[in-house]
Amino acid sequence: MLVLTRKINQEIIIQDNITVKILEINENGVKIGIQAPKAISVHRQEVYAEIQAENKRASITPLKFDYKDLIKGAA
Amino acid sequence: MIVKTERFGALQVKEEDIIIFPKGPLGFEGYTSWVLVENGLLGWLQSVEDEALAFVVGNPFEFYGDYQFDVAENEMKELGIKSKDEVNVLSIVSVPPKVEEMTINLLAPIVVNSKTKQAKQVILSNNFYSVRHFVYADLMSRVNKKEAATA
Repeated sequence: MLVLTRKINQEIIIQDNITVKILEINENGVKIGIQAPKAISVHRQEVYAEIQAENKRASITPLKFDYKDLIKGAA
Repeated sequence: MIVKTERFGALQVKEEDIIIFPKGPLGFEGYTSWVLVENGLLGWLQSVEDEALAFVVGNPFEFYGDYQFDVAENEMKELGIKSKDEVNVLSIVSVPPKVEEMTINLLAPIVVNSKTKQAKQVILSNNFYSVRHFVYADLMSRVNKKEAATA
């Protein structure tokens, strides 16, 4: 992992076309601006984690689940 | 080919119907081959590699008429999609023990190239959708309508 120090308004350039700029620093966090081509997807790590967790949750559906049974049950 | 499954027994599947996720669904990165078992409004996405692994899936447009998103250009390329007609969208449905609380994941739909069967679970960049939208009431009303139409 590359570790480096940046000050406000300083930038990092990745692969010639992705720019990461430090916009604001305060005790609660760091505000970052990212400029990247449309083809590069940028997401918070928590979003990935949330989707992974939701997929795990979805994968434990009861073996015999069939929504059509719900209708019979309701009738 | 024959795909062994816990839920459906041995499935006879045509090679060209196998859905390929080069990267696997999120959190299931090693699982690249899947089969869609259709079953009306909600079907199953069954893993070829793990007979116990399957997701309940639905067509999000059935449940949320105004659901919409753009497939990013790089993802179109990645999946070899050239036109809208080649896109098939599936959303994973979570079914908790309390069935009434079942939810559909609209934040991370599965985009399938319906010709080549290349697939990817994409993450939408907009803020309107989440991983859990309640779907039970809608499902029931749709089912009842269909039942009434066929009765």
